[in-house]
Amino acid sequence: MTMCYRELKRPEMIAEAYEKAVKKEPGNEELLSHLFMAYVRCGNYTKQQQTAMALYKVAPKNPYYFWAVMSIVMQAHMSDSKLSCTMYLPLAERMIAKMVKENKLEGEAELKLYIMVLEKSGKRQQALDFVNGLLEASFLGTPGSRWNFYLTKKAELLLRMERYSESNAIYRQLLLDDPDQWQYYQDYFTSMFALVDINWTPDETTQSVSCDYTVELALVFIEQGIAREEAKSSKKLRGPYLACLELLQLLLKRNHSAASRLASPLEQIKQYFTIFGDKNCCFSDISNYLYMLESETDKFLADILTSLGLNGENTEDMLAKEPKIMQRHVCYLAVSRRLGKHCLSHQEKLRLAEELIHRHREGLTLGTDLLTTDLQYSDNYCLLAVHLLYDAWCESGDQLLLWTICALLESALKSSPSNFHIKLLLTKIYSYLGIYGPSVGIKLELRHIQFDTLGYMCFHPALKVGHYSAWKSVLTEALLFFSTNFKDTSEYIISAYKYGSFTKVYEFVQFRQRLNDSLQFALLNVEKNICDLILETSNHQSAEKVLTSMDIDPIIDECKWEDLRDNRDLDVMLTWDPPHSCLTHEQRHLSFTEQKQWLRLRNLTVRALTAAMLLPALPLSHESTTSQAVNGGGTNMCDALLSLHDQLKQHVEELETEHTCERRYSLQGPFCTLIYPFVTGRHGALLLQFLRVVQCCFFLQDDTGKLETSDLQMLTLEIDESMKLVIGRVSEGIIVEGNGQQQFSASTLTQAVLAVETLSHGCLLLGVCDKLLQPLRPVTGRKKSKKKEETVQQATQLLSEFSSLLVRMETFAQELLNAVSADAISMEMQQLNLKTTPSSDMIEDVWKKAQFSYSLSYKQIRDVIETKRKYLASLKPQSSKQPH
Amino acid sequence: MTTLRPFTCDDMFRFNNVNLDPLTETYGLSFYMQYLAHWPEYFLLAEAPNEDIMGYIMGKSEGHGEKWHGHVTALTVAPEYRRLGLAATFMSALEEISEKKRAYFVDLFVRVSNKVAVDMYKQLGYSVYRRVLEYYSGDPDEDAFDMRKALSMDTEGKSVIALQHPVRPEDVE
Repeated sequence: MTMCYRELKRPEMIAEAYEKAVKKEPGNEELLSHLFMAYVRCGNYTKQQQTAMALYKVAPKNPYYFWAVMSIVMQAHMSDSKLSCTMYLPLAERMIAKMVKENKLEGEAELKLYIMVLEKSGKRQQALDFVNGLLEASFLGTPGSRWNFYLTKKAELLLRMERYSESNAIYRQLLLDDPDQWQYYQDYFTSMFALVDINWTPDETTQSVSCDYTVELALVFIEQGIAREEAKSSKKLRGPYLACLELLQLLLKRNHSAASRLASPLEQIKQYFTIFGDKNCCFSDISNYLYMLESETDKFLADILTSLGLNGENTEDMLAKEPKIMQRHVCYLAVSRRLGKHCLSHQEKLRLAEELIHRHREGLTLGTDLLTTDLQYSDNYCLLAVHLLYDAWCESGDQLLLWTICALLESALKSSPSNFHIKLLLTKIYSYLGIYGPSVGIKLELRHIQFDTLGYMCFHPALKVGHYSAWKSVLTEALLFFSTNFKDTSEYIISAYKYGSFTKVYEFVQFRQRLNDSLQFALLNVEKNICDLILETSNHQSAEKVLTSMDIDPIIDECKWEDLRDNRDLDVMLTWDPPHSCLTHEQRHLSFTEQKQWLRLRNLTVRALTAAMLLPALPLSHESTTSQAVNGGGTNMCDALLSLHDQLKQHVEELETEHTCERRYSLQGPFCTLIYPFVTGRHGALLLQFLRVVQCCFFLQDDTGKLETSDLQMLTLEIDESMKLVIGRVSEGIIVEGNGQQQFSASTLTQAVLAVETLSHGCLLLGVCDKLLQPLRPVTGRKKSKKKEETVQQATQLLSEFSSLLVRMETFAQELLNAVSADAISMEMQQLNLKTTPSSDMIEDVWKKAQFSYSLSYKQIRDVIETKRKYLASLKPQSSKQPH
Repeated sequence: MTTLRPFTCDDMFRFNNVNLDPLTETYGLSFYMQYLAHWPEYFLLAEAPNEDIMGYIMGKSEGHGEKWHGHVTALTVAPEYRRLGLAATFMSALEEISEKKRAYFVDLFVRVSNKVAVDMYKQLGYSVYRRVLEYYSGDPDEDAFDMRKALSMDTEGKSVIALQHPVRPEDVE
């Protein structure tokens, strides 16, 4: 039964079942324990607490007692800070203190829980006393090792209590034991500078404390650390060297004169490069210290370049002969880029890129023994070249550069099939060219949580080019991950209680929430709805079915806008750019906001469509006895539709004002949404007009006098105008003149995709109108005799107006279809003959892939249009339909 | 230059630079959470000064009596942070914890083709205890080496006496 309810996502029913069972057998330990778990699933902390105490009474075992304590701690986490401090935490503390007094604490988890409660209550002194009273051996991890919870917890508490000398002394000791642990250095420096700032000096009571309370002492300590490494012949640790750079940076920031006593930035960074330059991580280690070089930047670069000995005039000498030298050279190039040395003229960029491409190719010969799962040593030459070419494209708009980039990356991927950086870049650049990477063999193979963090590499790019089947499958797969998440994570919260991993309980609850509040999740839900509406509706009945199955409430917005979290991993792609060109916090925020705007657009669209569909096709007033209830619902839904229309209108207007040009984030950053093409393609206007048609029909069918048939006429004219504009954009052609050459226009493709969407929504809304107008149709035998002549005339007018709108819509679909016809597209593609370009061999393969992708786009777009034409045909008045 | 710390759930949002590597599997949430809930002390992560995730190790302890042992479930280091001795650091950490838990030995499974890893484990004091046939499913299936290292509880090194014949996966406890 439990399993059944779990699958149904009804955890409260599990609890109910066990409640009943426990009532019958209040002393049954097993049932009680199941009841506890059931409450964990529901997150009912109060009941958890009660049940755990009941369990403890039945079977006085420590775990049960601590389940109760942890349930109280969770209430503290979830309630406001006042209640947490005055009630829950003191209670939890007292409960554990009682056990401590009776000497009943067992195991590390319980000790840690007590420390956690004391810390959360701000009782650091007590926490410290408690830790001091324990044996080092109480915790896993051996003394003198980096796993020393005992010492690190003490040092951390002391630091937060501003007892810097004692804290510093511990960190100092920890660093002597483990000179590579970065966090210790940071806390060591923090406590040292704090001591300097308060002019601390040892007195009689503290003389035994061996801490570094002056900059001089720290200098000695750090220099000794380096000396120890220098004495080693191999396997030097990076820690002491980086710590020295960090200390220098901290001193310079404080304008401290002692900075001059350390080796200069130039010497230090050069030394670092000499020792660790052949490690892949050298660049990221030093990149944040490079700015300290200032006027010595050029000297630094010149010196390390000379040290490589790759500057020979003849081409043979300039190539690295072994992987380590090559790695150093790559690091040199990355550092120069970081220092702004790749901000060159267009020609210089191309020249440097060409040199790097050459180095990449030649470098592959050093890696012939590597496994396919290894990365090639010279891959980063290629990636650096690509970044240069990309810069050149950004400035010149020369699309041939993008084609060249794809060709380079494709060829690099062949030699290094496991290099995911190549795949990510290819996906990105292909998307700029209107190609969906995964459809042409660039498999990112996203799994599970990666749909949340990296799904953005697929969702939009697939939609943008109309690869509907790929779009649908990635949406479905991703949603599956999210839908199982809540159920799965709850089971492990239970496990955390079972195994006494109390620190993980809150962590798991937070994690579950973060996934649930994911922006991607919210977007996926609504995109999947739109996807189904586009793909699964070939007549109005199916559209109604699809829309009903979505179970959307048009009136209440279920999206928790304030809680949305951006879980995208925007740091996965490599960059060696200067700090100012990297993806900034502002850009991340801007992209998050843009995503939310897009989500709102989709959210309003789907809700408006639902509201329209839910409008009852019954007269608003008179006659029917059941009409009272229906009327109420009808008016509400009509209000909802009006309100949603207005919200959508306002939102589209805001988007128009804000998105006046296509956003472009830095290369390693996110994609932009389709907002810009949406607003410039007039799709919002057309959608709003369709919504107004529905309102019009709703009021006119009932002759409330609010509107007249002429309003519908006006609207039809407006729609005609909008359609012309939309078709205009789609017919601009996929090959356009730009930069003195023929270029592929990915934006035309996107316009076609958006036009198809608008067509699809339009069909659905006209379907709604058709249904609304049904009662007016002069069906033989059912004609109402009471109707006045005038009304009949009006109805006829209205119906004929609607028919002409349907005809206009059919023309729109036909025009769209013409614009994307197979012949037109292939003719156009021939115009963009990349074979005549200089690097034609390389590009030819890419061009084949591109043609495949484009053809697929247009094929799938045409398929959808055909479906919509069927939809429209089914809306034609009965008389023109086939007889039964 | 590393910060070693316990792996937390939030790290899953940013471990792509490690997990996109073809030899590192991205599992369902339940897999990670099961380890975090049951053996949090065995799930450790190394972080670079710029907060990049350098790699992580997942492990557990299991078995009874003289078979009580530490097990390495996954050990992975991002391409950028290889050749720094990080794997050895992770392994020594797992061994330390296993010692502390009075385990008799530590074991792990590795693809027989993964020569780099097999050699590395040998250097760290591991030896092949037995070969497990077709342990890794794929095309074709691949055998695994079950490698072991005795801890101080196993004073006579009984746990690492190599078996003469390979075993089937179903015979592996």
